[in-house]
Amino acid sequence: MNEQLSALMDGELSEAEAARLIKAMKNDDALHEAWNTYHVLGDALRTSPQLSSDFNATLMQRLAQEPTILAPQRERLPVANTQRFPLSIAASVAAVGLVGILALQITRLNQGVLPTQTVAVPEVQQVALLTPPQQTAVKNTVAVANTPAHVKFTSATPSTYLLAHQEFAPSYAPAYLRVVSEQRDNKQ
Amino acid sequence: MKRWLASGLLCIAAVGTASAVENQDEAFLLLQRIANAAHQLNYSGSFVYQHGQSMETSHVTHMKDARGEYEKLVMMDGHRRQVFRDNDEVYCFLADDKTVMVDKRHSKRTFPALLSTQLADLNEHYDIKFGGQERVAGRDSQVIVLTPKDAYRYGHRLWADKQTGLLLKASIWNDQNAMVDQFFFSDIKIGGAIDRKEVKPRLQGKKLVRSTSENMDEAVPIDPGWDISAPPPGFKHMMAIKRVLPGAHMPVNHIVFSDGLAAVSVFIEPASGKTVPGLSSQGAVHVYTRIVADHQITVLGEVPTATVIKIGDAVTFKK
Repeated sequence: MNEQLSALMDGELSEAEAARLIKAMKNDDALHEAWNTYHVLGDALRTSPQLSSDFNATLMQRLAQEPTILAPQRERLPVANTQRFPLSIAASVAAVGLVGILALQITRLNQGVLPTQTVAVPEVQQVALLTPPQQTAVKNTVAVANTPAHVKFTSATPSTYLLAHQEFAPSYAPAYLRVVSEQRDNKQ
Repeated sequence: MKRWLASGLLCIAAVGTASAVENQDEAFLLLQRIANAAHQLNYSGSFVYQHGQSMETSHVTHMKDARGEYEKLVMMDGHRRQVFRDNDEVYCFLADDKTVMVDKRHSKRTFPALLSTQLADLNEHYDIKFGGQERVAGRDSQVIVLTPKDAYRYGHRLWADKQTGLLLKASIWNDQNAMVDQFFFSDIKIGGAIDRKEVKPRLQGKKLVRSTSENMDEAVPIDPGWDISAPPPGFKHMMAIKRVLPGAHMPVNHIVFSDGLAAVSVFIEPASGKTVPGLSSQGAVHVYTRIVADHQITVLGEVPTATVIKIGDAVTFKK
């Protein structure tokens, strides 16, 4: 089931499969919880802006407290739209990235590493994160100096790899130094 | 030690060989001491990690007792992130403060052992020299400089506490003599008792996200057919396991190379539609991704781009 969840987040499920999973989520608290966890994980490791941990609960509470508007509505939304809504959420989630890909954000290369220093990675990377997966492949063609021509500079790399690698990294430095580190370079 | 003696004799024409060799021997001892100190001592302090244009402050607490090693690392700025290590188990507290990612270290041997087996080989690929003596975080330190002999590794400068050997500062340099990243303690207390409570993660009420197959032993061999035939000089095959990364569902093949100082990991897994081949970096860590035989190859290590690319391009698959 978890694999299905991440497939849904990746936008890799067919419409029918997605509908089935979303329906299952409505009835299965554990599954719904897992779905939320996946997003929190993804957000946290991508260091996207964080909502408070009880955001959902607070929002639902506020909604409950909203006065009910009794005035007649002019027009009902077409049924088709409301049905598509959950799917469009899944789609936008897929666009932002996915769980399992816990993006290690990319710094621009440091001075000296790249004499050209023209790498427009910060902006490009933002774009990359907001671009649906199928479009990310074309996003960045910045060729890196002293790097073979066939190598292109890309964006996100899962930080889980970094975590897995860390136990073999030189131990003289405080371990996991680079894992907790976040990249704020791209905000500059 | 025979090896450095041999290479020392090779450059016998050089002036002052004897003292250089002696010096190098001492440098090895200091490296060994640095590696051990990080694991054997109790210490607690704040350090700055600097890479590219960014700087981050963290606080580390390390404790060693009869039951083993405990560590706590807390990010002081930005999102609240914490990493705890209880011997082999690593707990990453994410910024939402509710979710904890748990990873199990797969190598039984700790890095000092790893390092000492390769220490003797280090001088084939680095010139190792003592630098001056400098003060860091209010303590006297001895500088040791490792200059690479080729373009496949970075230069390292290490500042070791004179009294205990603990590393107080370290910086990584590229071949244009520009700093790639560095960390340094701004304030540190070495020795003394540390309460285990301080370094113990509080897991009550937290949601633990574990690798799905915790019982997967490190003995699980990697998929047959994969070969990395020509890693850059000095990078030796350290280990290869099949493992599940935290938060993931499918196992990946994980192969590690090291030259005794820098390590490079190669991850091999079935490619998904999301694989974007190319190169990325964080400070000294470079990541190179490519696709071979419908598999995603991710090469990652605190080495120059040339090294991750060479290792990545050396990956082949034969049925």
